[in-house]
Amino acid sequence: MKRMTARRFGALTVMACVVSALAVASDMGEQRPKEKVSVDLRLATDGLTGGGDIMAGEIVYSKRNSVDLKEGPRRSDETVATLDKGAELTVVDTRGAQLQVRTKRGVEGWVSKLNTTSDKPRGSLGDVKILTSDDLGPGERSNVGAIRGLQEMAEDYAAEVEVPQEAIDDVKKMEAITLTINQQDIDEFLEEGDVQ
Amino acid sequence: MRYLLVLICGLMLLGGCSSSQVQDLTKAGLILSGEDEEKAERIAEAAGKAAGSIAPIPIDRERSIGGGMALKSVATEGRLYPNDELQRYVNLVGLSIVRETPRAGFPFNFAVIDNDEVNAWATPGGYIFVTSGAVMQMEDEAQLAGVLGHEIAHVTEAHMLKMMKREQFFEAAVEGTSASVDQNLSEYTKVVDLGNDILFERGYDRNMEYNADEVGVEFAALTGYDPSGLSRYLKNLRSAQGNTGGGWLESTHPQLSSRIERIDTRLNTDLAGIEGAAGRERFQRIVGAALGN
Repeated sequence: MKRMTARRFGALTVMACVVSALAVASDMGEQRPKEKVSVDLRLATDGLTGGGDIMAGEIVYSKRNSVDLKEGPRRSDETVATLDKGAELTVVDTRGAQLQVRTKRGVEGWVSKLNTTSDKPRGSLGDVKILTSDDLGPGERSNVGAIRGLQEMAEDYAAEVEVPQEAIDDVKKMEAITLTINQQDIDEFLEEGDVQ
Repeated sequence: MRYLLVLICGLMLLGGCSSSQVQDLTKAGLILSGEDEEKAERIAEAAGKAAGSIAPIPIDRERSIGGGMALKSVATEGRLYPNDELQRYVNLVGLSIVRETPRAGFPFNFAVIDNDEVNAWATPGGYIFVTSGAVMQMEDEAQLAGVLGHEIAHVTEAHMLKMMKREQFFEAAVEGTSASVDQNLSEYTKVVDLGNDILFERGYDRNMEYNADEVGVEFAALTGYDPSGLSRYLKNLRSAQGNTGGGWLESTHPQLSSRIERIDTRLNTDLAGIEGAAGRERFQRIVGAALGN
């Protein structure tokens, strides 16, 4: 059998992936704008260097999925886009812990430097894929929020391994406590504690 | 020819290549075949993104597995601490942090377990527990936020599911559209028992614990808490156990000193100058009343 040259193998590999790549949407790291988040964000100011100072012109990357790119540096500012993990950003300006950045497609906005990294994030072998907020459309988001209560299989399991009724009641109580807390409660809690 | 090429690409994915590996191999192949580097980078990025388009595990399946683990946790580790204000308080801190994560809007539940041992743990789907023994070692809300941030990070980074994926039965049991955990109690039990074994016997990989520290500190800081909270809490533990090199947490976690060193390095570099609330007064008032601390 003829040995395949490195050049030919490279070409075959490339062409295979190009076929798939051509089917991918052109957006690279950006998605549609999200709903406004109603939590206020305290700016880090006065004498804060932000350590390992990030300078204008530097390239940073979104460290995780579903990162909000805001119109301004405050938490209450409108979200202009959401960033996928690995989205490349050029730093335009800095204000404490907030970075003004430009995406590869030219969209400008502000992001917390805590959500960025100077090393491009890589996937890992054997990654498990789970859902994040950005995977969901508006209708799906309310559905996800409504997934509460022990699933049927968990209850069958409890019966099978003879989990005491008091343990079942406790997990149900745990879920019930969370149901009593809404977004306004969280806003007020943060404000009362001066956590911003 | 087209189908052969698509088949080759698919084989790369089935062979376990991650999206970044597909990206790297594609770029290498392009350059080998004479393409210029900039164009190779662009096409490789698209190929990597295509490779990453694998269906995620549905959230109700995650919650199902997590719910089973939560039931077993409470049965073996202890009941909910009998103070509703304390339970609500811990939920408020936890849910505040969740809003700053890629899982904002997803169901999460938090509970304090009546147990003098120092421990905290999380299940897939967001059931998060902290023992009363652990809370007794805290001094302020930022320390609580650091611990909850760490546990939330285990969920957002899917550490438990990644540990489980090393078992051969995981893919058929949990991934894919006809996963057996949805239908088969025996398979479901196997997965839940594996999860609890990882939580309470084996522990996560050391790098996953370090990752949860790093990401958890960021989540707490993004919420507005003093980012040094987790480090200060771990120092409390180290002082309390006399730094003997063993004890609380360390059967399932890296040594306290190495965790503290890593967190403090970040606090002095990447996170230097980032301030936040400590929340000492509110914490002392609520926890003091609940635990008599």
